[in-house]
Amino acid sequence: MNTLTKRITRSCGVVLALALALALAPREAQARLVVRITDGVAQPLALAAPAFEAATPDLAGLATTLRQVMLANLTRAGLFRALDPASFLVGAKVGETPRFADWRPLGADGLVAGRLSRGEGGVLRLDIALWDVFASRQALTQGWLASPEESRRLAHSGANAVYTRLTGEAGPFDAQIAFVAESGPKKNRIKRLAIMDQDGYGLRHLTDGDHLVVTPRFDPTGARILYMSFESRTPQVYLYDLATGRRARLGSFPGMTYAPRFSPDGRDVVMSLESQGESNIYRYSLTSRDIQPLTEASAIDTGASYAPDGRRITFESDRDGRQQLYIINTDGSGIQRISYGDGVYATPVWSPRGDYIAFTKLRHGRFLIGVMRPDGSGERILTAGFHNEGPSWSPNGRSLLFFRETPGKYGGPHLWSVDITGHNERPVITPTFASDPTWSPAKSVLQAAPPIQK
Amino acid sequence: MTIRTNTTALLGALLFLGVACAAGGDVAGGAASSGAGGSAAAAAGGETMAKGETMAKGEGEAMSMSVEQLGEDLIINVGDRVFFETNKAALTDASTETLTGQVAWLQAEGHEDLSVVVEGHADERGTREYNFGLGARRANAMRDFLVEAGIDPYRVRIISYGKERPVALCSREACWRLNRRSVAVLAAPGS
Repeated sequence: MNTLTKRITRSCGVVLALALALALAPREAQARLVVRITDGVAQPLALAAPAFEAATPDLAGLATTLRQVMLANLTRAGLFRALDPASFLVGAKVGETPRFADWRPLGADGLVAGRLSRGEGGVLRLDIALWDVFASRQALTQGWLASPEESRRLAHSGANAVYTRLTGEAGPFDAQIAFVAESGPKKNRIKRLAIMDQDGYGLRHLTDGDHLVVTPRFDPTGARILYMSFESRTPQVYLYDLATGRRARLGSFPGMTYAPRFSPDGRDVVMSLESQGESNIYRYSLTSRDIQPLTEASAIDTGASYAPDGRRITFESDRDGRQQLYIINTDGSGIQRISYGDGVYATPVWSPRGDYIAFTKLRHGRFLIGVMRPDGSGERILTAGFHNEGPSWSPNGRSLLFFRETPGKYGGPHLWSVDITGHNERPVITPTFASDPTWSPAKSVLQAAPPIQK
Repeated sequence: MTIRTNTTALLGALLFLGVACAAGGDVAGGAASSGAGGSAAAAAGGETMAKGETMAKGEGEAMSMSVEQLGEDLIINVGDRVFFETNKAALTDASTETLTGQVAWLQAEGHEDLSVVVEGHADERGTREYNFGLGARRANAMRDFLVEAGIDPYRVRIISYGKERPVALCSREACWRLNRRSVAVLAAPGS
């Protein structure tokens, strides 16, 4: 039996057989470092991560930081709980097979070692190794190179590698979150565009709060952000360039423009244009500056979001009376309603994997975050309460950011995250109130470090 | 039309406004001007001006009132806002009454140069983007009434604030209904 590829399934019969096998088989034969995210992680695996090795003393501080960053990522994702290093009698080194007998008594499922060194030209190098303690085998060994300014990305890459090894899915850790930082009294909120690494590091504000700004969305390269601003007489969509800090209004329209999103190829923007009390979806070409209507009903059509193949768009419309979800081809043909449940549906977002559309649902005075298949089937609610709104997919399509407002005069919005299974619902900490979160695309993978010569 | 120097009512109205502001309540000005225009002035005590009558300038008088003062006149004596049911942008009878008063006020002598910005708002019990659309619908409902009643369309422009600018902050229907509103805000001439 190849223990490393055995998968735990939901089937009753298999679980029963497994339980029996587990009870009877010697511990060493089981592989535990395998998790299927779609089934939901009932219990995080126990991870032993002794201190990372620093090749030279001046790297010791950074090695400690990177270990910390990596562990925090894996813990936050609900995959692992980190064992207390105070209970470790020995360390672990990349490139050296550990004595698994040292780690099993601690209940460790996995053991990770790390080594930080310098490469040529001042570049930093992180190597990690992951062992399956009960199978007594190495599960992965990998290394990356990064400039000192991007050192934390080494830890994110390490966490991604462990995540992928366990789940078979791309890791979400080397990405950023943009959102709206809110402050001031509820009747006159000051709103600023903000951006930070997905673990909260490096928070900075992109606008100064002089004008209302809402709903930031990244382009497919992560280099620019679309948003709506109240800085001119008529609220309009703007484009912000992260490298230069420059912003430009997207075209010039007599009415309000809002709810913008990029196409997957980054060449078009879909958004709502308001005219005489009605709002329709338009497609704006960034190259030709042509604007084309996609919908024309007497309704409020908004919240447009492209499918990852760029061929269809989902949006919300109240053309049938209350807000519901619809799908349309990008040429404007084939409008089809997909939401039919009990309630009102809004803010649809198509998963980057194409398999789900997430949404906000209003039902009996409560706000819910849910997902459904693009054909409208398989609706699942992930969280519900007084207020939850505005889901945004992680780059691997396996978790959602959203915001939750607390009620009353002194209430306000906070960011939250939940896995697609409905598990691992947790707050995303920000220094002030925060709303309208959006994930950036995953950054391009760091350069791989050459294999360690033995 | 002669000048109505009804200083008692003016002082009373300003006193009422002052008390309301000092109280720092959830409702800023909303209560002072909800629905029927004359009620606030009546509450202020003293002699009241009938709804629809304004402190207009007489012949030969310079426009000595500031935009701010004119705005207060609109708020107190006519009513600057109308309210809507959840998810709706339809004008109620009370709304129509208020807007009829606004039309008269905008057509009054000395007010011909004034423009208004109609703000449309929604309560917090909806999603952000849709509420921008709903606010626009509500602003347009007010604007359409004014224009159809004869106000030059160039004097009325709209803006939607969605749910971004509530005036009443509790999370109950008593506050939400005050936030579902369109408000005519006086703009300086030429703006």
